Amino acid sequence: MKKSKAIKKAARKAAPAPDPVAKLDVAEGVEGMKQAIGIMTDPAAALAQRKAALNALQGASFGHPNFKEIRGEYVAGLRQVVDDAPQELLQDALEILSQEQDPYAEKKLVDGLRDDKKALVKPEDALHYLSYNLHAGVQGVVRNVFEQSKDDRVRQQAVRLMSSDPQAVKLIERTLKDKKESAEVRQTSAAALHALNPQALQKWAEKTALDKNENQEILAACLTAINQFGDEKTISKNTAFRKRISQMSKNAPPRLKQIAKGLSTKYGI
Amino acid sequence: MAVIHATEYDAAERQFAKAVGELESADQLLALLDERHPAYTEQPAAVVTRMRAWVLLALSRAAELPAAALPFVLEELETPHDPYLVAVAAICLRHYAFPHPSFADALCQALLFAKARDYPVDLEIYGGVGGGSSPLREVDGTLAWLKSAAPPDSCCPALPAFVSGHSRWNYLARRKAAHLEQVMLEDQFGRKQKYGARFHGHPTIVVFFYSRCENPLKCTLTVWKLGHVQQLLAERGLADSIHTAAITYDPAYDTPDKLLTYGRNRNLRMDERNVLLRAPEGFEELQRHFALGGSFFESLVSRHKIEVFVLDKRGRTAASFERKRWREEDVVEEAAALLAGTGSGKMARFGSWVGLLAPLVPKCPICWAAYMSSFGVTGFVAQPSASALRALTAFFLLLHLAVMAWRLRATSWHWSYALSLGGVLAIALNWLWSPPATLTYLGAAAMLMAAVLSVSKTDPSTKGSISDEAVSGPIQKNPVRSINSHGDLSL
Repeated sequence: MKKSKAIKKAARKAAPAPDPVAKLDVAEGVEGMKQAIGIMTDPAAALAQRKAALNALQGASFGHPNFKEIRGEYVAGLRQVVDDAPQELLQDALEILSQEQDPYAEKKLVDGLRDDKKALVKPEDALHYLSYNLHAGVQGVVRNVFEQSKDDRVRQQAVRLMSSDPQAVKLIERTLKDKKESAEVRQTSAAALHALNPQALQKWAEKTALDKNENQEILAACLTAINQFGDEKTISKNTAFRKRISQMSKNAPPRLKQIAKGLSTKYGI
Repeated sequence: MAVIHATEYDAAERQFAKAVGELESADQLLALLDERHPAYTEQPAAVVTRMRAWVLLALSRAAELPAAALPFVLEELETPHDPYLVAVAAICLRHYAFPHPSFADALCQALLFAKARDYPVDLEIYGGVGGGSSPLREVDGTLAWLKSAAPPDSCCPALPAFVSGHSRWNYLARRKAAHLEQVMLEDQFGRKQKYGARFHGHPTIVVFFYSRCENPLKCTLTVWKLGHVQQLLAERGLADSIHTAAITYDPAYDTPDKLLTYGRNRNLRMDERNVLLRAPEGFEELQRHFALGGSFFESLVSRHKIEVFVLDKRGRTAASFERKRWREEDVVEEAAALLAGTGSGKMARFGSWVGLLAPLVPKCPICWAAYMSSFGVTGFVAQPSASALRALTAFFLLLHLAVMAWRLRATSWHWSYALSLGGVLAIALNWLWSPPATLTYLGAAAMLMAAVLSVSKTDPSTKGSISDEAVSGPIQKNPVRSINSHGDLSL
């Protein structure tokens, strides 16, 4: 009995997905998708309707065989939404356009980061959307946002983008070493430094692990980095580090103790 | 319709758009298509895209697209990455003098791209953000123009040779080229070696790439193809004598571990002879040496062309394949031909001819009488002894055989060597048994034929080896290169 239910369930799952635009009160196929674009861009339509139209079109963009016929109109529609829709809808449209590396959306986002008055979305969201395009040319803007912003969410997002910017290495290292920075920003900086200069991260991690006054989250990040990417030869020569790990595997808060034990096993400490 | 007007861009772009609009000469516009033009310095990819599209649009407004613009136009269609540029390139192409059947390949590639990224573009405004057209519409239009052509066998004249993107430099031209010895290169394992040492003693096939390239038809495909090149070299038994290298445009980001991962993920063979390299310092020197076609924004490449080089055993560029799609077989043939003519190729050929002198050495009184009558008895000062002459002849014959054996490595023509050997034996028999002189003439003829065949052959599939060429510059020089060096649009 159970089996037949499972089979039925699987069959339901395997059945072709219904036409995404069918949920709206529109025709089928290309004509229906065109009507959905009309709803999505209609300022007079209810927000729920416009959002449903956008979601339906987004679904169709993945699998509808005739979507290519209206792709241009869809992109033009999304750009229109960016210009005049309420925040909730605008945000969705911006994300879709950013994923497609649309120059219109990118220009609006960069303009917003340079000038608050032109910002369509919060800076952390703008940075997130811009991260879809490495070649958007925002490295300088991102470094600037990082240095000027006091919002950790924004700074964290900025560091994430800086992980592909070799010119930001020194800034990242400085942030990583700065105990006044939040643990989240420093952890993201550690990941960014690993992407840009893994050796520099290892050196910092080995040194920081010896610091008894360091934040536990940061210590955990250091030990994890060494556990995952450490160089066995370097570790075997670093007596102070080995001694510290040995101590931590006996006497440290549970999480650090666990990581230290893992390190002891891996490096034969 | 959401539109971005030129006035909304930064000052540098506004100035560029205005300056391009005012240019009247096609040469000046063509100069702007060179990625190295100062106008692109420190401009991000999105800006470079807009600038180049604007230049191409300006070119398309002329009565006819200059042939020198074809490589750039076809490049945008063959390796499509931006909807606006693809739409513009499609328009440009149909302004060329005639629809050549070979354009179909590039247009098919562009069509596939346009179907997936058919964005609205406005071809009347700088930047193209607006509506009115789309890449699909423009590519369709150009395909229709192409279909209007007569059948391939009766239609068009050949395209200029430089459109292929293939250039060669002969031995003399290479000797004049500047050396690049001191730039330190680091491979995927972190091993460091200077340029001079890395590329010394063997031909090398070099490609340029960077791991953050987002155009799958450029860097990723180039490195995959380099893997195929390695296979082809192995199949031909050349893997030990021809090395391969992929050098990154982005040395600050492409650290050894990233190079290693990048190569592994693309099935690249990596060992002593086959490496992925970066120049942590001195990349600018590499850039100048290879005249790399790239522009940069901070450390990131904002634009680059496809670039493949065949280096000779001193690390000098002997051939290049640029911008257009390249065939792995062509590159391997080029390197094999270079290897065949490597080193003392000239000396080898000289030696082949020297052997022919052997039969001409006088060996009997009648011969001497003939020579004396030719030069005049008064010019005769001293007649060397017969044994000395025989030794000299034997020396020449052995030299001929040795050189022919050397050439055998390059040509693999065993029957040519056999012919030569037969000729030498015939002459030797003539001495030993003194039969009629006919045998000597036959031997000399056989040696002559073998020598001529040997020097005429370098590689069956290339049109001529590097060292065969007697010109003192690139064999196929893209006119744009010349224009570039004088391009002086000040912005």
